[in-house]
Amino acid sequence: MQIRISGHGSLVIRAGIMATCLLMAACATTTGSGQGPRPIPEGQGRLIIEAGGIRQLNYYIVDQDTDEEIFSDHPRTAGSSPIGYESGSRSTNLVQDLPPGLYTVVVLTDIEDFVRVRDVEVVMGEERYATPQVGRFMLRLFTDPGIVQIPTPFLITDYNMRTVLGRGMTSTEVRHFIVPAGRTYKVRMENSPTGRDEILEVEVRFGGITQIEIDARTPAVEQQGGDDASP
Amino acid sequence: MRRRELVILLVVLACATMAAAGQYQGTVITRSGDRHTVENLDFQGRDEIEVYVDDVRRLLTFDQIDRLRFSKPGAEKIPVVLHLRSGDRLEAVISTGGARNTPSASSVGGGQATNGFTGTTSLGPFYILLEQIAEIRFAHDGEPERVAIRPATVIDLNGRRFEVDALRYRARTSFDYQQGNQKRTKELARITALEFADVEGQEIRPVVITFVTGRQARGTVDAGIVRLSGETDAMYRRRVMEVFTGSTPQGPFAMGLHQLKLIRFNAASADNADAVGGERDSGEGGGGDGEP
Repeated sequence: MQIRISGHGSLVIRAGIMATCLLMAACATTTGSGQGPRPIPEGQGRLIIEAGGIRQLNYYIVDQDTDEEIFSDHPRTAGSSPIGYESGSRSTNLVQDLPPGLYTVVVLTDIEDFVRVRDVEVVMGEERYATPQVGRFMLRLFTDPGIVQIPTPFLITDYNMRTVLGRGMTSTEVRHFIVPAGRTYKVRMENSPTGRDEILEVEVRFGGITQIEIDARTPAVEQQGGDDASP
Repeated sequence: MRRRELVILLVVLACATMAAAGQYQGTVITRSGDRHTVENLDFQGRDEIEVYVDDVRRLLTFDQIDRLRFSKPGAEKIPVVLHLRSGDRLEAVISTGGARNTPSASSVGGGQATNGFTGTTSLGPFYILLEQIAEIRFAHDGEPERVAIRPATVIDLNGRRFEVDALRYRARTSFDYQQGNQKRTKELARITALEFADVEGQEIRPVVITFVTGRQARGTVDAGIVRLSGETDAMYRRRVMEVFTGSTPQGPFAMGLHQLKLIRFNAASADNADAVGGERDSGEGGGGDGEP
């Protein structure tokens, strides 16, 4: 059976289909799929901390007018903790909605130095960025296969090795150490698996991950050849 | 009408750009005598510089510095004379080492760089190595941020009393402590007393911090005296024995956190600091400013 539709009727049906599609799309938007950024709450502004790809920081925010701490979050474990590692989670704690005002963002690093960003102005209904100059490095320790890797402590010092700035611990997991960027540090591991006193230079830049390596693998025994070669 | 809107838009954009720009500008004089007026001046992306004064590491923000005069570069270091805005003059050394990554290091996202100042001039981006600079003169607006370094009375666990001038905490003018797993830092200028609990043999010592406003905060400090793996004698001495430093009429003063009982800053200085800072303390869990 065939249904014949006049040109005018076809137009009405098409319009109806389009209206339905628009309605469904509108419904989908209002329910929210969780992909986009959440709206800024009424009467507040948004502060986004841009840390060069770092998604989690220990930091607190101080209201410069009252000198009171209005927010703090410390999700990261200490650099010297044997259980610390980088999770693969994409969640971030670097976006905060705050009342309009002038703030100081104080970022705590894995060493004793803080990184401050002063005079961050949050404006109602707007997004504002603060960029603390922090970077990260990673210490990779290679051991022979089958050997259980024990977390090994190390020191983070200034370049001249005058002052101990912090402590760290190796991990079998991926682990980043967050420090103020734009400086060169030294990492010292006295009881390294190589048996040597390892002193490594590490230059940390904003937005990068500097990797330093300690290779404690036994050099591969070369295949004997020539006159000593066994038949 | 449209032309007027366009002009307004351009003005707004220019203002926004100026607001976003860095706050430090100055004149950089090279060793060959060239002068550059540089805006958005920064050192390795930061507005502070790490120097060594009498072999003690110090961080100085540009806000504190009036002029920097560089001497002839040595091996991985350059002697520098810092003229501070407070009127003080410091002879220090800046490390230029670590200009490039060692063969054992690699960097994701770009890490090859050398130590130098960057900024912008009327001709475009500006970059200069430390070795090429003869002098930097900062052009500051407004009054300098005054850092009050006050005399204090220090009493140790044995009951000995010291009158110490220019007391600093780890060569800084702020005091760090923990509240739970959260680190805090407070300017010494806002503190009137630090009272350490008399708990013998414990590495973590409770401390009560009394602020100039009269409010108090409780925290803890790491007073461990165990030598760390890889720590040299000098590092150990600085970390454990030279936490609070200053000077007494008899000579230099240094004391570790494990030896302290009480530090009381004199009232006159506290009033002065209150007048200088004019800021309130938040007490328990209160925020504060970071390092100088």
